[in-house]
Amino acid sequence: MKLMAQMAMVMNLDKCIGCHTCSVTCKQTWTNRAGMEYVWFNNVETRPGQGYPRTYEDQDKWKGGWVRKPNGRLSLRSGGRLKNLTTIFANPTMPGIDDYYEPWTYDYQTLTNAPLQEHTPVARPKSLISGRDMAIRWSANWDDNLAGGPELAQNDPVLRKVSDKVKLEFEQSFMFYLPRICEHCLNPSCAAACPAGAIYKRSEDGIVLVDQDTCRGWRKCVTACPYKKIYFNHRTGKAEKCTFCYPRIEVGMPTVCAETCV
Amino acid sequence: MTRYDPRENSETGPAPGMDGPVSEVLLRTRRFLRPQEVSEDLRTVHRVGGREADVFYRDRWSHDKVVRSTHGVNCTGSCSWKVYVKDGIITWEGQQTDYPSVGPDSPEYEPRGCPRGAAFSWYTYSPTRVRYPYVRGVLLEMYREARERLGDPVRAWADIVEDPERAARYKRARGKGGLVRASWEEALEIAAAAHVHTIAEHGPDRVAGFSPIPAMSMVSQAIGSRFYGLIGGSMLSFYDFYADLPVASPQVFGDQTDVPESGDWWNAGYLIMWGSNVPVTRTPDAHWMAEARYRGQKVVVVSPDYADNTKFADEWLAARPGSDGALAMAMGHVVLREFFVERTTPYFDDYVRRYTDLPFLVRLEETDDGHRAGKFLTAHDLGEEGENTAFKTVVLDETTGEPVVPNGSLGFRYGEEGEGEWNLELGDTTPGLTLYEGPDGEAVEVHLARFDTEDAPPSRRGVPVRRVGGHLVTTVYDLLLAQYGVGREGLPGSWPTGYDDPDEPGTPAWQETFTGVPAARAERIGREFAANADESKGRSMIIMGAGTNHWFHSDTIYRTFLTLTTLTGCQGVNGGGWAHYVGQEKTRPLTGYNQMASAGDWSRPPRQMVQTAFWYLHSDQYRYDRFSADQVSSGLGKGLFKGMSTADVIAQSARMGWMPSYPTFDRNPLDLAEDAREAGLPITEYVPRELKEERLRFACEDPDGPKNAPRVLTVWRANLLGSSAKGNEYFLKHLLGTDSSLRAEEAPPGQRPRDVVWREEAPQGKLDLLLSLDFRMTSTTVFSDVVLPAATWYEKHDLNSTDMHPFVHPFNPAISPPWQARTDFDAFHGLAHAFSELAVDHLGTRRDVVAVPLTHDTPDAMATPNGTVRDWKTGECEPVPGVTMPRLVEVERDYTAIAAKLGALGPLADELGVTTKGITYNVDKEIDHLGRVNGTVRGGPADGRPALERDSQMCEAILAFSGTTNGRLATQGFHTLEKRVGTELADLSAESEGKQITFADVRVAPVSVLTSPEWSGSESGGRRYSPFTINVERKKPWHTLTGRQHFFLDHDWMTEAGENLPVFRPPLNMHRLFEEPEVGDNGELGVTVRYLTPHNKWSIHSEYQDNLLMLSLSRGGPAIWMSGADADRIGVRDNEWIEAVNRNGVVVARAIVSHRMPEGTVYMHHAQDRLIDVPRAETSGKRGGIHNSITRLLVKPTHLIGGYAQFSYAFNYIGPTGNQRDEVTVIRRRSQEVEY
Repeated sequence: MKLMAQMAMVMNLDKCIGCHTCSVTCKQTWTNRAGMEYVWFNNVETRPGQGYPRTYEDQDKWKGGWVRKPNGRLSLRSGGRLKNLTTIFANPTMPGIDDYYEPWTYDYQTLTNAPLQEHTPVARPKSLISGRDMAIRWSANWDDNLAGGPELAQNDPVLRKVSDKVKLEFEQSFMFYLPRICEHCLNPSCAAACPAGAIYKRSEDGIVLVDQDTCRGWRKCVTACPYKKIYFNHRTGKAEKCTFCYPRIEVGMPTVCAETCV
Repeated sequence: MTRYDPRENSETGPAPGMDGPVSEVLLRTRRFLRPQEVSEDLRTVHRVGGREADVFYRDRWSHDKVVRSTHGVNCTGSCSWKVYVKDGIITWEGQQTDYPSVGPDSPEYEPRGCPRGAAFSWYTYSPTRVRYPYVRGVLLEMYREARERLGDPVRAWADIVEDPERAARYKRARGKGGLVRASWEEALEIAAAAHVHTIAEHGPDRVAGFSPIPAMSMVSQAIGSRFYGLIGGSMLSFYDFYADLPVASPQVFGDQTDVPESGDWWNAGYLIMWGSNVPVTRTPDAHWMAEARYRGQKVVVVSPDYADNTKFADEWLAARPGSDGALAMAMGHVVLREFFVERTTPYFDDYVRRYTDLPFLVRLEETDDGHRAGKFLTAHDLGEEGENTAFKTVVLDETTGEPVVPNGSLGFRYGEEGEGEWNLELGDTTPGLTLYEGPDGEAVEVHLARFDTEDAPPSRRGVPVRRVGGHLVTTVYDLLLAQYGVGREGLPGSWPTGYDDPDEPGTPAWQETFTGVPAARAERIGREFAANADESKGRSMIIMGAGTNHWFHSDTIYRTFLTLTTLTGCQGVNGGGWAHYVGQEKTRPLTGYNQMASAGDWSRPPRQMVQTAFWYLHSDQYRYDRFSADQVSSGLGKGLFKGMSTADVIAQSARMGWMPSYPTFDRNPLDLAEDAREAGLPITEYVPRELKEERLRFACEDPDGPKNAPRVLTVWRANLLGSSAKGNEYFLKHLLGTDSSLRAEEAPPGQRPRDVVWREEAPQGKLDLLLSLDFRMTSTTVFSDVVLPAATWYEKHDLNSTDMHPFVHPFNPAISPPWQARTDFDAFHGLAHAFSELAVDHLGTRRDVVAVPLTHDTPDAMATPNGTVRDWKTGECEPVPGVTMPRLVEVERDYTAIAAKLGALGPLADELGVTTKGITYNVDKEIDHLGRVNGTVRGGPADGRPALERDSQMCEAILAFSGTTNGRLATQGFHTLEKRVGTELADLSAESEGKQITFADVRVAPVSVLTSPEWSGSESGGRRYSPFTINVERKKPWHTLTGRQHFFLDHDWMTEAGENLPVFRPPLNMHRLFEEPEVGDNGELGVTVRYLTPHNKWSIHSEYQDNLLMLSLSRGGPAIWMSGADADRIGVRDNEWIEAVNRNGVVVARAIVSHRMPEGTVYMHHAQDRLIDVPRAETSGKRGGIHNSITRLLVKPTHLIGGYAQFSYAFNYIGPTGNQRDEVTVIRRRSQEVEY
């Protein structure tokens, strides 16, 4: 491998206050645009909790990452080359918009424009997918700070394995925050899964990127990533992901999330 | 662990290779198909180039400029930000990282910020942005018609508002849409006409302005405040109204609030976060707490829920809501027993003798069946001759046994005799802490108030006594031990048998019954706190906040906390003491700001009103109070509040000159000046005479009288109706005259005010004009008659500072205000111009009678010897302005020159100087400097005066006139103070005497402020700020009666309330006061719970709660957190719609069910406006309300005390709190089909 350096980020989970400043500055800088409304290159999760997209860590369900075969060799959990080829037009093992969340906005302008009427004007939620009225039922951070309690947290795939140690009861409560960006893996399963060869790892700093010209939107990378940190831009039809802020890294500046972490 | 190495041979592992032979062949073939390098093991393909598509992200990152600005939001963050601009469009923001270094051995302040601030730029181009001036169509049509018909704006306005039918019509339309665009010219003309008409017809004190927290954008606040200062309007307070003002601070310290910067948390060895959720409410500062743990700091959290900061705690005490005072008392009990009585702790012992009132003597008063604590013994009581002897308190010298009048009490602060003696030097005196001489010494039983259980008889416990000058006395220390139940052998009365005694107030076991915190833990934490303070010489700290400060009786809770920090010698020590963080936000360049905001350079004094009392009366909440003011009494007093309602107490406080009261009289103060002149009397004779003969009354004695209401209100930098208006539905009904969901019934006859006039018909729609300036739509703009589009924080020049860090830094425009937005500075200049033009025909020059309350940091503080109440109305004394009633000042106002004066520095600054906290600064050099930097005005009423015509010029003026930013003034002020104090002080700022921080300086990077007498701590030599270090290290007195920190308060009303000493008072019983169901009741209507409104993770008050990014990260609309147990009771699941209903109104929200919540309590985070995804309520059929729709104002009578030592009034220094936390509500599941 000709990798000369590997950029990586260490996040101190003991210090993290779960404030989401990193998520917001990242979103504002990179993904506040059409087709990417539901996308958070950097997100922060409360654990116990389901995560974003929901239960992404349940690889039995989502088939992300690698498996080591009995012969010691690695294979994508989502399947080898043949399977990848045969399912290229039909790959259901992928989070749907409801697993991420249906992004929304509000008809804010009604607060100014409403004609004289019986009741105080109100801005109602509107889907950013369909444009229609919607009821808000899930988000990228729905179970923040143990919101939803046992009803939601019991679906945390990690908690299931340690539920004898972590209680979902008052005065026994436990939580921590997990900020997440793309890991820029040494052996990125997303790159291995890409039928178009659009995902590459830069030799000078190890940053993993999606070539926006080459990507054909097959979304095999979405399935293959065990962290679900590759997202499909439904406007451009291409995959996008955390870039480790390479335009900043290249000139000696830290990533946005790192610089803005309070 | 063995590592897998693919290069190993087949005996130890697989050979290099891929999935199998077929794959390998395919991959090898690839080499020939594309120009790329495949590695030997076939695992990687190496390509060169092909990165053309990366340009997309590079383009996205590229920008044209980065501009430094900040957020003028009420959060204390005061974070400097980089605002990125591309093609003239604001793109996003990120934090600045160039704060001055804290130095070695400590973390740094940068980057400072939070997700809310990071989301701010969204507002710039958002659809909620106010782009143009708006007027409600109904009103605009009426105005245009009347203007056309009458040809004059002022007459047109009068024509509408004096016509009950038309006035009611446009008032009823408030908050119901129908806003239409108007030009700036027309909108300002309407607003100006309303101001001119109201001043001429009703008086300038019927015009009010509300804009809180100057520190968050000083110029934007000051410009409007200055306008109201010039015209004589009333500026409304905020710190008390927000219930952020800890009344214990003026009571104990004689200081509004002074706290450590967050960098000083690092210096603490033991940290308790008590009702303050630091990661949420002090997001940029939380890291100091997280990091200090790595240094060995122990962190304890006291919170009723599993709050965010609990994650960081070594221990969590889940005290029940509002029970904190009991826990702190029990900890104090342990400290007193183990560190004072059982052994002497030299550090504590020395500290409390020097810096607290514990050694001072208190006279005991005889009652029917025993004694109670009376008044401080004074030099006057001992028959001493001289100045101010009634304000010189007395100790017993431990060595000689003789009474001594030590330096430093209030009596030394004024007058010639006290010069050089207002200090804490004790000379040869060793103040005796106790009169206890052993089991056989003389002692009497005193009655001590207790409130822990209803109708419990007072405690009777003995204190050692002596007779001094014929008075039976004891010490504050001896009283405190009795109050805390710490017995000593031989003292009579009823004492706890030990820590495990649950019945006697004060013990760890006793507190457990109220807090739920195990006695052993309370005991241990109390002991640890003190032990750490002893070992570290005062480095134990309590961070306290809204969770313990928003209660009706929070002053008592805080006094129990301050008892802990003061007994253990932590106040005035870096790394120790109280750290109160809610509201505040220190205006570090205080003197300059005050000068600009009060317009004191043109006329003095300004009208400054306590907002809680203002709205309690003018939103008519007083009409719904059914209980007597003596519900606050202990039963041990003289019954001073018997038969009085809270409104009666407010009226009494106003007429005695304690609290300000605007509108003041039932007559236009301009007419009053005329009347006095016609009568040939000075106002100081005329007004008292008219009052006494009842031809003139205080307006607050008849708040619903048609002449007595405020008529015009301007709100800027604030959201009153979507956020801070506690009792929101009362505001909508009575103040605005529009639909409300108020469900309460007015007090029936027999439960109404005694002195205050009761009008049968409650007015609706008192306000003629609600004018708001904002850049986003809020409930305040939606309910306003006229809305002006404001510039955002990235579109103007201004200044920002905080208590959390020691830097001053600026706002700068990243872009010009887009659409038709204007800065607040320009908007008020526009209003002033329109006003001045209309004033030519309608007002001219008039004389105005301003009634001023007895003021803190002036000799007014000696108006009430011994804190003994005398009311002229009941004939106990004569009405003497400035002594037994407000001071009366006649002010000339040239109403045609308001605009000219607004934009120039007036001559009174030269003549009178500028005064802060009793120190007057000569600013002659600064005025000269300012004239040359800003230029001077040519022609007109302000000819030749330094210009204040642009926001940046006012920034310059604020910095030039403040000691914190101008070393010459700091040093001058210390020299002035040295004369009175007699100890060395000016060396504190000597290092910076030649330093003047300019606006250009702060635009480069945040600049550290200088040590100045405007504040109580020293920053000399780059030290972290901690309050009261100057008091402790330089023996400068606190601004209190004794000059020391007070445990004991001897004012009549404090005695009446049973609050002479720190005491536990539980939350108000809303069942008893208002017949709400009891907490825990579960009936057909739902479950009754405590309703708390803590600060919100996703907003700063109502700011950002409508921001799409914050809504996307939260539940996307109003939410109420509740426990699983309560949710089960009403059959509600997470995210289902619920309604919270009580007598005050109704609010609709979705439930968040979580095990982090305790049973019996719900949280609706402050401040959720009604404008985002709020359906109509089933209960009312109307829009679902805001978090404050089910709260209301409740005024604690003791907060109205004035005219006595540290109880004297200053704006936002003391006043009744707008507390809301004692409220309860019924929560029920509603239909899940919601209608909008």
